[in-house]
Formats: sequence, C-alpha cells, structure tokens
Amino acid sequence: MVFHAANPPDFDWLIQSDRVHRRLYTDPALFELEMERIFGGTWSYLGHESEIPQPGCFVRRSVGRRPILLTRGQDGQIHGLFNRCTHRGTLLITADKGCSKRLTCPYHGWCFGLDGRLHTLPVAESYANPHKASFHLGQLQVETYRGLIFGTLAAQPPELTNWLGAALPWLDEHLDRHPKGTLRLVNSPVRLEFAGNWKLLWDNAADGIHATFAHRSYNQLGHQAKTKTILARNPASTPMVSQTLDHGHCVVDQRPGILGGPWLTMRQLPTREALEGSLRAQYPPEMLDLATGNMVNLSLFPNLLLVGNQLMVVEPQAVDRTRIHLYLAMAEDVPEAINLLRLRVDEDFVSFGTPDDLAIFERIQEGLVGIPEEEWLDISRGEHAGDQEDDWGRVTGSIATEAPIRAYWQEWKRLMKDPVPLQVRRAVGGARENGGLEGAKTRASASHSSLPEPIN
Amino acid sequence: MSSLQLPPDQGLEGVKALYDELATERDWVLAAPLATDKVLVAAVAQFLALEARMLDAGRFEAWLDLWDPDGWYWIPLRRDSHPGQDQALFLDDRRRLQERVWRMRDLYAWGIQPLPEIVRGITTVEAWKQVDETVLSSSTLTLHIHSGSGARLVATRQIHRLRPQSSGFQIFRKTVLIPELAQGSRHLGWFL
Repeated sequence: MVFHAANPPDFDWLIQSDRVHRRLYTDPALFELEMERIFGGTWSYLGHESEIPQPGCFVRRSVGRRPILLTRGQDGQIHGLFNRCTHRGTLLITADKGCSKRLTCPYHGWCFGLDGRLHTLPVAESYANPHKASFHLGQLQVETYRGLIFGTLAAQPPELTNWLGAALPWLDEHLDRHPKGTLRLVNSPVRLEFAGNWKLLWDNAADGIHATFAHRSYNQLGHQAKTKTILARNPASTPMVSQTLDHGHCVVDQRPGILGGPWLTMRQLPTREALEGSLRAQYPPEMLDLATGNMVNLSLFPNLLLVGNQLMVVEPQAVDRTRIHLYLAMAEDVPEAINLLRLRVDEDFVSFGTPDDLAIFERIQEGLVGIPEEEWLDISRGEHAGDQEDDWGRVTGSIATEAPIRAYWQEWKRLMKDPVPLQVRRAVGGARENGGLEGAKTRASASHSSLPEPIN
Repeated sequence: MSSLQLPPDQGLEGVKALYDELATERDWVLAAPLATDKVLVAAVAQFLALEARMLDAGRFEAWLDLWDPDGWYWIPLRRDSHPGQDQALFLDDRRRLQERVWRMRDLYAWGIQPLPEIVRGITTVEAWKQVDETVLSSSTLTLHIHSGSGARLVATRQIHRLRPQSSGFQIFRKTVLIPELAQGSRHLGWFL
C-alpha cells in the first residue's frame, strides 16, 4: 500500500472508538509514515545520564529507525546527534558505547565534535567557499528530566514536563523510592527481538488481564514455590487499577492488590537466600522492597515502559519486526546486596515470562497478516462497563480495562492525522575547540526545517 | 584454578566469591594454553557428545542427573560480563535448572511449545586438568533449530568445569557464550 498526498489514509476509519483495523499492524507504508510522524513528532526516550557520565562519552540509540548518537560534549552538554556523516551518509559509529574526543567518519575522514560541529575536513581546499549548507551533524532537541533524556524533531515541541503531564507524579514516585532519587543504568541491556509490530507491546503494556492466561506457566512456578506472584491474581476481583495519563501514557498500579509489600511477591531466585539473609541481619524488612520494583508499571508513549526495575525501550525495525532493550536500573547508596538481588530479580521474568509474551505477539502478527477477511481488533473492554472518566478525560478502570489501548491510539491518530512540523537542529558557527577549522571551509546555516513529505 | 562451592549460609561474601569465580574461570579458559592431554580431550569430547545427545532427544531429567547438586550454569549477555555487575540470560543453581526442565514439559509455556527440534554440533574440544583434579574444557557448540517459524542457527562457545567420575564426568559449572545476545536475538526460552 502506498499513500499519496491526495489520498491519505482515513485514520478515523482505521481507528474507531472500540476497534482498530489490522492494517495498522501490517501495512509497510503506514509503518514508514509512523516512523516519521510518531518517532519524530513527539518526545522519545533516548537514554539516561548515567550512561554518559563524562564529557566525550557516547551511546548508540535510535528514534524510530533514525540512528542516533547520544553524547556528552566537552562542555558537559548532552546532545542527540544523527549518526550519519553529513558528507555522503555513512554511519559514523557502530560501537554500542564509547568515549572519544571526536567522531570520525571512516570513509573520508570527516571529523566531528561530540556537540555535532564539524571539526576537521580533509582536503578542505577542494570545496568552494562558502557552501550552501552546514556540514555540522543534524541534531534532535534534547531535554532531561531527573536523569532521563528525551529527544524530538518537532519544530515546536511542548515542554517536556508538560508532555509528561499526568505521568509526572508517577515518574517522580518511581525515582523517589531510591535513596538519592536517581538511578544508574546497567549499560548491558537484555536485547530481544520478535516478529511482530511494535504497537503489540503497547497493547500489552497496560493489559492486566493477559497476565493470568499468557503467563500461566510463570504463575504455576510461583504456586509451586508457594509464592503468589503478582501476575497470578484473579483479574476479576483484584483491586489493582489501570489509568490513562494523556499523550498516550498510562499506568497500572498493582499495589492495591498487594498486602505486605512488593518483596513478598518474589519467587525463589538463585542466591536469594544468601543475599536476603545478609540484608535481614542488618536492615529492617522494608529494605528488601528496594530489590524489586514498586509494582507500578508506567508507560510513556511511544517508546519507554518502566516495569519493575527495568526500563524497556521499544525499537521498531520493520512493520513486522521489533527489538526491545531491557535496561536494569541500579539504586545508589544502598547495601550492595540490594543491587545484586536486582540483577537476579529481573532475570526471573525474562526467563519464564517474557518468552511467552513475545510468542503471543508473533501469533497475533500471523493472525493479522494471514486473514484479511477479519479486519478488526476489538479494544472495547471496560468502556461503559466499569471505566470511570474524570473531568480531564482520564480514564481509570480495573486491570481488565482496555482504556489505555484506546488512549494511546487516540494519541497515535493525533500525531499521524495532523503531523507536526519537524526541524533538524544544527550547531551554528564554526568549531569551538579548534582554530584549524578555519581552513575547513564550512559555513553555518540556520536550522533546516522540513515538513513531512507524502510518501509516493 | 581452585574450585569453590557456595554453602547456603555463605552470605554476601560467598555470593560475590561465586560470581568472581565464574568470571575468572571464563577468562582463564579464553586465555588458556594449548591443550596437550589428548586422552583427556577425547574423554571430555565423549562426555560433551553424550550431553548434547541427551538434550537433542529431550531427555532433560536425565541431563539434570549429569549435574553436581551444587552446580552453577551461567549464560552472560556479553563475553566480558560479570555476574555481579550485569544481567545474565542464565545464572542458575540446581533449583532454577529444575524449574527450566519443568517448564520444558509445561504445555502452557506458550513461548517454547511445541518444543523446537534441535541438533547440537560440537567441535574444537579442548580440556585442561586443574590442581583440584577437576577439568576445565572449552568447545564450540552450534545449535541447528527447527520450529514452526523456520530454521535457525545459534553459534556458541561452551565452557565446562567437570568432576571426573568412575563412569565419566559430572558437570560442576557450565558457561555458554552466545554472541547474538549482545546485539539482540529472538528469545532463547527453550535453551538448556
């Protein structure tokens, strides 16, 4: 399917109040459009400050499919750079992470600072002076909230805190439970891929009812260990709640269904007894709750899910292929055994729960692709059947509600139907750090603005 | 290298010592000298072939019997990971291995059912006798996996620490290095 400007997709038909069309998961042209308009037009999570602690540090990321370098420049400022040489388009960096004074293109030796400025241009005299456009790297607008770094290409994005909006108190709560109010990410994430569309993760994120059925095997392991895992609760009677939070964000608060604190929901783990024993000998029992998550799953559309102590980052790769990155958050200023337990806690579900989720996503994709006669996915659960809407339009329901799914689709439709203007930022002026650039014959230009173009 | 067990009451220091030992053992094998004891290498190769055949045949409970009750099975995400600093795919004691075997039989484990058909190929076997009479070995293990979603190949290096027995060996430690984990892979929920 190819869309022409004169014949754009009918988003109101594809996304209805109680159902969505299968093409939203299977159409390659729609996928290309959402890579541009969703992952570009709104804030996306890029990384955490602890991953680039010193000037010169960088990590490789993506926004949609745009390869991005998250860097800390020599002045300490954080940048989200296009990982693409401005000469002929070569990927500048292929390493996951590193530390360097410069980013050098392997093809013709163009050399950039970590602030994106062109630093050295070999055989500079072969260029006319002045040039028509800047050779500085393209950049996202980047903002940070309590260590979490977000970026966008929107020409006039909302303030990050406004975009976080109703999710902000939940995010604060997630951070405030740590003694210093900050996290340190382990920079070796679990990376998993599945043969399905990226939005299947969003359908799943706040879907509390799936846990009883999709994770039946995991729950049974809990029963065998005489542990009532958090997922094993009866979805028809649990007091846990789901809530929509504007901009497609949502939260599932599992705490009302837990008596005695999060640690009591944990199954047996390798080394658990030794580490738990060392903590119980010196600290009150509540200390152990820091070893697991806060039982609040917070999802920030379009690419960040906070689940347990992990930050799950969604990376769409194709209409039917998605990669997820699970970054484990460590706490600062806590007993060593807490962070050692965090490692083992988060391996548990990845071993016995996540494979079942991913397999079901792949089953859904097969079902949607294979049978064009069945066009619709139902997302009506909870509507007029228990959901409560407040004065701001935010919906709270039981964990069986599909209100969060309906809400993120409305945000998706908003961004796709009326795409916001995008703007590639570039540094203005020559290199700050090296007078040698004087002969490099670059010329700064104003930021390049572009509106999304229709796909032909 | 010396071997170390982890008594249940060992506490924090015992756990850290175990983690250090797992990482040290891996590093030692990756930098080990030429394995010159051909008889030992041949005996280890026979044992590794037995282990692979058991797993290919789905004889998971029999495979568990190859393990020392205090054994540990580690699959780091990267070749340079440390179990005390990084998440792992496996960091399993006997109890966890029993759970994995149980799950292999669980028809509600949607991620792994039906179990794929797997053929394990083992090559480049090396082995070194240690001062405590255990044996460290290195080998390359290639898994040919066939399931409803098609065929797949997973290349690994496996490191075993084995205890000689009258009937062969017992697995005391096992580490598997899987390069595709670092970049991202489809889940390996069926892996043992």
